[in-house]
Amino acid sequence: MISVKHLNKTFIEKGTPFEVLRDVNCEIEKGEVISIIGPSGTGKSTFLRCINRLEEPTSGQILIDGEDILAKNADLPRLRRKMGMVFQNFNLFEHLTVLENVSIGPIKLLGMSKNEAQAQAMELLQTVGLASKAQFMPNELSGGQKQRVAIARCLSMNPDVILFDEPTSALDPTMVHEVLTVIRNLAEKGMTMLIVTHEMQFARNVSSRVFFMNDGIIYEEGHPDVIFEHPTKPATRAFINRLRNIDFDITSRDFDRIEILAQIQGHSERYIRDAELIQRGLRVITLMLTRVMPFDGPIHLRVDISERTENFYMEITQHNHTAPMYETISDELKSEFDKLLEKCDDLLEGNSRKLSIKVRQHLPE
Amino acid sequence: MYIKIKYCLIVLFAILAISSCKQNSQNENADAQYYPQTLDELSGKTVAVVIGGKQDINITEQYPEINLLRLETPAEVVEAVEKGKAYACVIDTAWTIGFDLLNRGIISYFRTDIVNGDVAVAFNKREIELCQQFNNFLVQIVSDGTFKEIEERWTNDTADRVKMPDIPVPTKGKPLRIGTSPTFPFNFIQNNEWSGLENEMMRRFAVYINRPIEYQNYNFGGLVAAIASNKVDLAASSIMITPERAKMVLFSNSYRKITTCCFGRKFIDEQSTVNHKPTFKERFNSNLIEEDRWRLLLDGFVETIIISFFAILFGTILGGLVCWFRMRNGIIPRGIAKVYITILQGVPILVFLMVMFYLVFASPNVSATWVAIIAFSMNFAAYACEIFRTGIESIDQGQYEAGYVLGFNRLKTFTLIILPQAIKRIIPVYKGQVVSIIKSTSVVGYIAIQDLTKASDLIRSRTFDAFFPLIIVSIIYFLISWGIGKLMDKMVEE
Repeated sequence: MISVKHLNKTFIEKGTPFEVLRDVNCEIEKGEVISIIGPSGTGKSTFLRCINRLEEPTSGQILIDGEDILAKNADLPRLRRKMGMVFQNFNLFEHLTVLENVSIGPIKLLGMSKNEAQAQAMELLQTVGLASKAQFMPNELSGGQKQRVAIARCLSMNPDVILFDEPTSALDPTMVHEVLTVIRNLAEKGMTMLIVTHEMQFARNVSSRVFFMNDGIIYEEGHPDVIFEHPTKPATRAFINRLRNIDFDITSRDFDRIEILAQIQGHSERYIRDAELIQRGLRVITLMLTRVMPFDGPIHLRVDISERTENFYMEITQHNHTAPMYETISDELKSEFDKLLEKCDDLLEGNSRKLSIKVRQHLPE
Repeated sequence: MYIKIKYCLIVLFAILAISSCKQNSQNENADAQYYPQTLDELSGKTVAVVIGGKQDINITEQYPEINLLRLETPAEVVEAVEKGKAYACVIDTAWTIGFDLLNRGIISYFRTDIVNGDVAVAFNKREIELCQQFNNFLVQIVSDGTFKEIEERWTNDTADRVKMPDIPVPTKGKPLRIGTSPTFPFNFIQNNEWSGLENEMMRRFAVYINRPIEYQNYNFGGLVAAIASNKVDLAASSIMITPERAKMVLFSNSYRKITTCCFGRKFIDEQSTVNHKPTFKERFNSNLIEEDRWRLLLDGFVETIIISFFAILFGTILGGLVCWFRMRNGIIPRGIAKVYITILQGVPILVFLMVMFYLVFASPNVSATWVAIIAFSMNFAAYACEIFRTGIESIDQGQYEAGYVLGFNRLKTFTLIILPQAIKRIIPVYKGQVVSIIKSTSVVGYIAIQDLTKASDLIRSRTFDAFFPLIIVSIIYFLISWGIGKLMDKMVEE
């Protein structure tokens, strides 16, 4: 149904070319549900946007039911009608009501009568659970509701395949579920879908095949059980078992402490459900940054979160110091830390000292 | 909503009423009990003159110590003295006929020979034959006594009640385009018709050469330029022969001599004998009802509406086009649009209007109204295009993408999805620009169009009442702007 051959995409950023996609090849059959996972910045979204030519590929071939969408004389609007797309930011038409959003396509493009299109729109809104909001304007809806309307709008054109570009990334955690449920229902009805997502559990349950993208290529693909349980290649393994890391370089005494803590919190909440564990981690970081090691040279702070095991790791590196860090802590603080920390390695590497910490998952009784 | 207008009007009236009460608290008071006798004594004082007139030129040269207040018409000059904006004025004595100076507390201080000259009709340099015809005509009417009859008719104190004799001017043929600057008693509007000394003379001349006539109303300073750029064939408007003017136009033989006087206010105690101030009702009558003067305002109103309407219509279309150019990827269309915007926004609208009238459309075949419509459209487009661009660029890129992936082509995406959202956002700014262009059409009088503002000028030059016509006109402008604003709000709602 969709066949991608030797797809390349190079962005030019400030004069220097940057290869986003390097020779991507794949075949997608009708009825498949494909999740595309991988680290950020590896071209997942670009790949999806190349398929319906929202991004212009640098070279390669994309066939939709045998038709080359990259051909100069390709009937782009008609080919795009076969492929719905759901965006990260919903992109509902802000000047139209929910009902009009879901019926404008059929009326203006498929020649449906207004009544017919609106009847169909109501039906679709029913399936995404939003029939009661038909007369609302988009800005009166929550993020999750908007995304469900966007899915209904996409379905209104009766597409053969739907491309989902991180459909839940812009949502509050509480709303992710409602959108995933709608997508899951579509999968059960046999809709062909390509989903770029960071929801690993969802990808694993819903997909028939998983693409792991790394560094601009489909690095490994396979059945979700294989990819998630027994990945064969090292980068896939690292990603699946991986630590979701976030790094900070602190170069000035007046660094923005609040900003750093807020970012770490936001980052952790995406992967760790245990709110208490996050609070504990943040407390350790705060104590470390304020009480233990006042700024006297650049600090590199790295927070790792293991998605699978829900562990919270931390690594603090300080250059040009020759004394171990942990030993300088006062006894009083040390007992507090010992309660919070499960493991603590304090070592000197050449000219720098490094402290690796794993935050305890459960407080000792 | 209506209460709001009512309040606006009340406030407007109140402001104007207060300012009209205060208009006699002068800043340039007459020195106690002494009237100047020579121009030398006017050093350091403010003296009103007609701009571009010979008095203006000579005083500037010979008495640089005098502060000149240069005004457009003799009526304004007299008004300036009456209201105390100027200490005195120096003008052609003939221009003061009918001004009822005594009643307005003004007397002649002294006669001056700063300007001694001959008044003639000015022709376009190409119209040698026409000029010759006029000279022959002049000889004829002087010799048969007609000229004396005309002169006597218009140069006495009852001139404003004189009725223009019935002169059957031909209606067929190539019209004689006559430029004039309305000045009582030479050229003025009476019963909504041009009349006056020079007008009667020109009517008789039209009969003499068997051609219809067409009047164009300029500011005095613009007359010579209008002749030179062939906007009119000739001008009969008390133009004095000077070497500078003779370079630009062809003068006929003279038909009148100029005598110049200096006028100023009488002393305060003498002023107490001055007649009563006209009441509101009298002013209303003299400015609007008498001689059906409201018709002038109505015609001016129609002219203003026509120019505004088409300028906004064409300006919006042109603005859309420029905006399209401006947002293209190519450097050339974008460059063209940028240059267009920069120039049109950078040149004052009045200057641009005159450039269009005297230089670009120097051909007499384009009517002044069309020149105004074109100039204002182009000006409006320069602003409208940037308004449109701001609106369109404020729409998120995702809206385009959502349209494309649904299967809309670029045009449909733009018209169905982007444009409606953009319009909603730009309406408040666009409305402001519309109101602003309507108001700025008030300068079209400079190219001889009788719009609303010019109509009020005409009435003022006859009734010498600055207050009343100006209030009426400001209220009308206010109502137009307000009405358009409401109309657009309503359109957006729908």
